[in-house]
Formats: sequence, C-alpha cells, structure tokens
Amino acid sequence: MRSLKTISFSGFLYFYYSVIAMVRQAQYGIQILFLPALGLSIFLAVFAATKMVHGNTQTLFFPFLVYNFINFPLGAVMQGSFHMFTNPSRSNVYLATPTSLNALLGIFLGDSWTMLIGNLMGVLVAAIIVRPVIFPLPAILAMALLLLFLVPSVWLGMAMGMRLLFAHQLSQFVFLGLFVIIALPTSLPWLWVIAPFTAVLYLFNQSQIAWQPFWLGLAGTAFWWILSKFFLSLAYKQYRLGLGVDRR
Amino acid sequence: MTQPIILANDIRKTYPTKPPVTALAGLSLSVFPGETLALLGPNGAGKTTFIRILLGILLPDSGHIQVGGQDPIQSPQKVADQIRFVPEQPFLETSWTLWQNARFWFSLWQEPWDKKRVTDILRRFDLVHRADEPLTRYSRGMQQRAGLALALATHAPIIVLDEPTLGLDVLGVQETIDVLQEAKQLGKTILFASHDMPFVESIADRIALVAHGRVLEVNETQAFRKKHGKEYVVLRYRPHGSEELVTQRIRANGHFSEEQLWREVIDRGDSLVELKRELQPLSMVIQEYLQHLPELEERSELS
Repeated sequence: MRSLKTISFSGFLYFYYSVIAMVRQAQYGIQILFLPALGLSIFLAVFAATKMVHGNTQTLFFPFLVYNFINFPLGAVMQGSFHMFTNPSRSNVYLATPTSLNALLGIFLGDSWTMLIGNLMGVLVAAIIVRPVIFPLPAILAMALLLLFLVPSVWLGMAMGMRLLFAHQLSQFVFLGLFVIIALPTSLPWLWVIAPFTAVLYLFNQSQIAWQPFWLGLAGTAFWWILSKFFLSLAYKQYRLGLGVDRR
Repeated sequence: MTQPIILANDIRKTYPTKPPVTALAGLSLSVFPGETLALLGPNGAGKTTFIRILLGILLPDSGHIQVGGQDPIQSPQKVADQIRFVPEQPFLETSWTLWQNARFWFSLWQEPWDKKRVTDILRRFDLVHRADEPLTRYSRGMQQRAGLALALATHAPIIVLDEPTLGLDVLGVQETIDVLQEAKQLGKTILFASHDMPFVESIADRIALVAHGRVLEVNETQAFRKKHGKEYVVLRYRPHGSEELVTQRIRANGHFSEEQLWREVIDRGDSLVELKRELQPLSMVIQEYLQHLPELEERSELS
C-alpha cells in the first residue's frame, strides 16, 4: 500500500512537473509552435486513421482511448527496460529507492500520461470537428496525407528537443492498427482482445450489444497491464543477475 | 567496539557474458558509522560492481553483505531506506526547478516532506537562492551539488557515490569536496568510488585500494599517503604467463596480479615515452598513470 501510494504520487508529480516544464519551454522561440503543431498532427492522424478503417471519428474515440491505456504499460515497460540496460547509471538511482522497480515504472507511466493528454486533446478536437461528409477522402489519399505529416512531425519534435515525441506515438497508433487488421483472423474475434484498438473498433461495427466491446476492451487493457508488469519484472531479474549489463 | 554499518565478506561476481568477466574476486570490506571511506582503484577494478551489489540491484555469486544489519540481496528495499545513492552523472530532472526535484525525490525516497529541513540544507550549500530556477540553468558541477544536497537532506545515514568528480572541471571538483565536507559534519557515513587521488585525499578518512575485484589494502588516509608516497604506472599486459618476461625487461617494483602490473615510477626521468617504447614489443599498454603522494597535484590517464 505504501509503495502504491508512493508510485501514484511520484508518477503524478512527474507528469505535473513535466507539463509545467513543457509549457514553460514552449514560451520561448520557435517552440511556441509546438502546441498547435501537436494538435494539427494528431488531428490529421486521427482523421486519416478513421478513413483507413472506413469508420468515422466518433466511433474511433473509444478505441483510441483504450489503445492509449494499453500503450501506457507497454510504453513504460519498453522505456523502463531500455533505460535499465542502456543507461544503468541513471536507472540505478531509481532502482536504489525503496520502491525499486516500481519507481522506474512510475516515472515512465508519468511520461505516458503526458503523452495521453496530447493524444486525447487531438482526438477530442477531431471527434468534434471532423465529419466524413465534409472530408470525403478515399483511404489511400488519407494514408498518404498522414505520412506526409508524420515525417515532418518527427523532425519538428526532434528539432525542438521535446520529450513528447508525439509523432512516434501516432505512428504506433496507425501502423499497429493496420498490422492487426491484416494479421488477425476475423473468424476469431476473441483473439482480437490482445489488440484492443482494432478489436474494439471491429466489435463496435459488428456487435449489436454496446457493453460487449466495452468489457472486451477493458479485459484487453487489464491483460496488457499484467503482462507488461510481468515482463518488466523478468527484465529486472535478469538485470540483477548481471545479464546484458554494461560493466560500467 | 563499534559495529560496522557496512560489512562485506568475500563477495564474488562474474558477469555472465561471453567470455565471462570476473568483476569481484573475493572483496571484503568494513565501513564504520560516520566515517568516509574511499574505494580507490583503476577503471575495471570492481568498484562500481561492488556499489551495485551494496545497493541490492545486482546479485553476487557468493559472499555475505550487510548494510545497517540488513541484507541487500534478500531485503533491497530495507537497505534502500538507509542509503542515498548519487551516481557519476547528475540525476535530477533538468527541466524542473530544484524545489520540484526535491518534492519528487522525497516522494520516491519515501521521506516525509520537510521544507524547513530542505531549505536549511540548500542554504548551507548556497543553492536556496536559485532553487526556483530550472536546472538547465545550472552548471554540471552545480547540478551534481544539488543532487548531493537533496540526498543529504534526507534522514538516510549512508551516502554512496560513484565517481562523483567524473567529468567535472576544477571548480566542480572543489564544489563536490565542499559539499562532502559538509556531509561529514552532518554525521553521515560516506562511501565513494573514485580513481581521482587528490580528491580522495581531500575527503576520505580511510582508503581501500581496490584492484582486480579485491581490496588490496585498507588504511587511514595519512598512513596510506605515507606508505604510497610514490607514483605508479598501472600496466596491462598480454598474453597470459608473460610475468617472467615482463620482470626481466621492466623493473617490477610494483604489484603483480593476473593481467596487471603496478609499476612504481622510480624517478621522473623514467619518462613515459621511454616506457612505452619498452612495452611495445611485449604487447603491453599503459592502462593508467596514478600519481600518489607527495606529487598528487596532477594525475593523467594514458592508453
């Protein structure tokens, strides 16, 4: 309980201070362009993704939210594990705190929350503004548009030195969705729970029962959280044994 | 007699790499409450590995270790309550202010937030007037000083530092010395790893000479200075089994071990250029040049 309180509080502080720092940094020079650029990129990404799956933005909202909740643990685990093995000097400071591995996980969860806020803002704007009737783009054109905006978005983000590499998130969002649509069989909808973004979207379109996709999405999210924690614990176990550890 | 607050006995660790690398080969050490002990040794001696084991984030292959009566292998979280670790690089979030960092790290360290105590420490380290600025405006030395100050503001009795002067300029090193002198006055037990002899001499009560994963010697700083008031060149040689050849060709007044020779420099006329020429046909390289007292003012690394 003490650990949970520590992690949730420090995770919140990490998120809160990061947002404050981001806004402060955005006050200077060209970085002020970052916020509208972020909104625009997300708007276009959501719009293009909607077109690709032949849906509309409103139905995309819930899967997008679920996707982000799934992406928290995945992103946190990937970053936590990556930092542990590639930057042990810094990771060790977190690992040497009383909550140990959870502290490392907590800061990257805080980081993920920062990303979620950006994504959520974009998708909200998209959900309100975009109407398929007004922008009747074919899917292929939408995808081309998305790619055209993703690349400079990455450059822009990197040039500004921002920690919030939103374009990375968006590319994951789009391409993971595409991959799952192609790879997973439609005859086995339960299998789609492992990839809830497209799974929930698919079930929204197929199912007549509104609560079914909700519970499946929730189950998928819980599944990924538990699996991610398991993988991170496994990584830490290997780290403690000295496997793959840079001696310095 | 006072019980040691840190007690390590015959710690061994071989990294399971290909080929396996032995980092600790039976390291034993005792650190007493309130003292400042330096782990002095060349790169690759095993200092950082020992610190990781001490913190409970690396498991030894064998041996026993206790920190404040707790076993970091079995109870790393209980040990973490007693130790604040400061790595060789500044660890605070640079885009945040020092106050924000303080609040965040106190939360992670599970320390009750005590603004008065933190203010006192920051004032003591001449940081309080800049504590509202983001750390991007601090120099590297100042960032390191800030991290140390926060660690000292907690109630943990032990401070562990890994190469605290790495990458710092002369001013930064002096700042670190000042902070650690203050820490000693606070009664903290300080254990730090370094190969910077002048720095070690400025801070440490005792020095543990570490090489090849073992403590070769532990002595009080004054006694260490008296005994090792000489300059050494640390030589790494290959292939194995060439000790005889080495001793024939090089005056080996120093300390021999598996792949290294600590060779005493008899006089300054014994130039490194000449030494390098001697070593070339033996496939040896100068790994490190350590200057011990009384000529401690300069130290250089050669490879």
